[in-house]
Amino acid sequence: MTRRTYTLIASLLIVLLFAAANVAVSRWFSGARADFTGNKLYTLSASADRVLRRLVEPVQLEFVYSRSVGAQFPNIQSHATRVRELLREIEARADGKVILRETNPTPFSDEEDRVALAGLTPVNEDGDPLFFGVIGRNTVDDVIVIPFLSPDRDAFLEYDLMRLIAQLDDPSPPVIALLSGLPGFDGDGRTEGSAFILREMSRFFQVRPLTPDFDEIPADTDILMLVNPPPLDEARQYQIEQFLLSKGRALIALDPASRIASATGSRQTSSSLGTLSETLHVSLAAIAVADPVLALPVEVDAGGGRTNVVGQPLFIAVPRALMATEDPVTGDLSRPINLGVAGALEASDTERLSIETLLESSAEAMSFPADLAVYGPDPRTVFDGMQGPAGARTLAVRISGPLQSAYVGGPPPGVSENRPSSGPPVQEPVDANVVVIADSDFLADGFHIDPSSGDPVADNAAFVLNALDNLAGGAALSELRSRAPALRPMSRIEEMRREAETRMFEEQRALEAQLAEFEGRLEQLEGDRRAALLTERSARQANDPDIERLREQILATRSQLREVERSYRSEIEGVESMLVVLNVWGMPLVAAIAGLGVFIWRSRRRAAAR
Amino acid sequence: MNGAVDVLIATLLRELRAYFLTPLAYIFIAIFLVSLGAFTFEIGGFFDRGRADLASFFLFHPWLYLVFLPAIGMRLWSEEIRSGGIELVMTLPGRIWAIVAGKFLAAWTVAAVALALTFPMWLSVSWLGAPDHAAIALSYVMSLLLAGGYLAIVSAMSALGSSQVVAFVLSVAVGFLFTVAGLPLVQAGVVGVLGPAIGEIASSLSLLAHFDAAQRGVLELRSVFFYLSFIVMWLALTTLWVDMRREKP
Repeated sequence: MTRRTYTLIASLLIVLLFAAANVAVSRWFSGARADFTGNKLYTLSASADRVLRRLVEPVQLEFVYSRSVGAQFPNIQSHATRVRELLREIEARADGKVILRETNPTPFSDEEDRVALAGLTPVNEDGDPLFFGVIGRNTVDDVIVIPFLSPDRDAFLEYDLMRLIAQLDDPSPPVIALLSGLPGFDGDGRTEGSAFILREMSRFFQVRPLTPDFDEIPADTDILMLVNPPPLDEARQYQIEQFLLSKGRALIALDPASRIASATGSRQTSSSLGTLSETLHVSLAAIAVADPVLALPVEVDAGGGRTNVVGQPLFIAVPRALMATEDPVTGDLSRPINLGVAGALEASDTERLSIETLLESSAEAMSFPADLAVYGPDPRTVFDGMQGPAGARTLAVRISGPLQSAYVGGPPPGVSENRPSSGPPVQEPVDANVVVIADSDFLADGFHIDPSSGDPVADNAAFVLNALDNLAGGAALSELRSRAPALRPMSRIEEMRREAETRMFEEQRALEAQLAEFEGRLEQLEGDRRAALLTERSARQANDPDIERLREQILATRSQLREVERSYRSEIEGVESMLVVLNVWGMPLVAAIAGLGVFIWRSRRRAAAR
Repeated sequence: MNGAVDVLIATLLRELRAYFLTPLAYIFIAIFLVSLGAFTFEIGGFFDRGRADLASFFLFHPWLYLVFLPAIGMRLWSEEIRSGGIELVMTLPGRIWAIVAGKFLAAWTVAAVALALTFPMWLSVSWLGAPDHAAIALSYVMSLLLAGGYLAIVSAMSALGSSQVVAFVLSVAVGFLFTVAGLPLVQAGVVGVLGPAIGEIASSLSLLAHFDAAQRGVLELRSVFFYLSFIVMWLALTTLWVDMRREKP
């Protein structure tokens, strides 16, 4: 054998060995990984273990994936790999209670029909359909599916799978009776145009919408959800109170000023607890909270076709730091909750009930009139109209303990005749668990969904689902929910922006006041002069020096105003430029100098050696 | 065995001297860093994203390595093979791998120095916000392995080609293939011709795919194995090909 042949064969063998070794390792060691992410996104969590250990009857999971079609899309393929690995890990940890099998349906086969009938929705990509879902079965032949495993829901993968398993274990989802006065947040969540949160709710709960003229709260209701509820008559308020006394589970979203309602022309732009305030010992103050520190950025017109990004104090992003850390509803949230014109909750003294704050504003928050807030004032108006004293406002609470009926004298008139099924007043109230939040707009897509990707950018949905899950009694599952990768913003830049715009507003206000004064005086002077011209009929050609001076002052003030707007961003831009220079040129310069140094040193040595 | 390690160290030091006692390493490092910085801020939209992470920075590592690392690796073997100087140091066949490893490690050291000098980026992003430091540290480690991968290719191509230019072009070409193996363009072709199983294998042998996964913050054993076995494979091929190119007495 010549050397060349030997080399060729040896080379091929080496390459094959490499490929084979990697395929083998990839298969056998697929689970060997160390999760360094901040939220441990890729490790099967302890909560998942708990759910698996609770399984009594075995559960069958069929992973359906059209491999050949999926291979054409790298993000689908890599997600499929992850799903497969996670399922294998679940099977391994479930100790025989989870049976896994994988199906690769070929196009136009019976198998394809079967999985489609089971409820999987394929994605048709110019031809062969791509199936990518999970069919779950339990021992009583219930079938629950995840119709399509979107790579976008990557961070929720573990939750979705564990939820599927938990549902198979206990197939009856809790029933939520929803009474909503928030436009867009109604129905049972199964229709296409529903709000994101409502759709998510309908995936895990049975949502039963209630109309404001409801006859009764359905007997099998587990949780009552009130969202910007319309004013109800006494009889219905009584029914609600009785539900709270008997079942004791509710999520109530009130609003002093609903932007969504006002923007869509609905008349019901605010809501309150009514008589329930007495029962729950919590009431909603009729003001909107304006928080300059937690203000979400909005675009405002800066005139001349330009826009600036400034903070709107009425739109509050409650960060992790201002959430209750030990409560399972908020304890695991990693992103802020965006509220849109929220109110403040006030708790009255009670020894029976425990009222814990779940969300609160910063210590710099002030009040702004709710009846003005409802029309969507621009940030400048809000800054001008905010009133003290500054202090933290309570935005959401959890009320727990035995409630007492506010109807001390028995049911109000009108109850017994019209609603025979309401039953006698509840004598032994259960330990209630009620979550009240002083905003309803946060449930709408506009406050937490990125319009281009359709993904949530805040934990509004997680908060609601955690709360509902917790109220339904599944604390273990709620830990799984918000493993979404936390958005880490450039906080220093954002703080600089906030400070700059506070300064800008102040300077602008001062300058504009001055400008208004000058212009007023100019008008007056010109008016006088015109009047003088008319009466005297003498053509005064020379310009009045006063008027001239005023005009100059006005021009100067206007250019100062423009300067303020221009310099508003200049500090931030300065920082950015400095960082660019430092990073792009800093070390290269060091390297170049080092190289030069070496070069000089070498040539000196060479010169000395000669 | 001891002798081989001595040879390795001797080779390593000799090559390091060649790199750092001439303008070579410094020019490479400077230009590489400027390019990486420019790409990160201008094309990567570092500030526009508004996120305190280095995603727009690591995004460009594979592509810049692809083009820059052949520049420092192409000299590894081409000159010695052409001038015949290879004979002077390779009297014993068992020592070839030591020399191969020594040369490779020297080039890898240059790449490591360049990577280390990007620390201002890490400092900057830490000053701007609260990044996930573990994920960044992991990305740096994987980037170093990635650089090793590209250099290993260059090492082999340098042994194959008789001139530095040929070595450079071949390195970029082969490196390119291994980089894009996971991208749709290549996948479509591979799957269409060879079937989905081969397609999956191809994407699991992609330098880019393994690097992307690491940036999420998860250290996968099989990714580490991939990069190390990749390097070993190409260095083994280098050894084989250098041996082949020696003139037989």
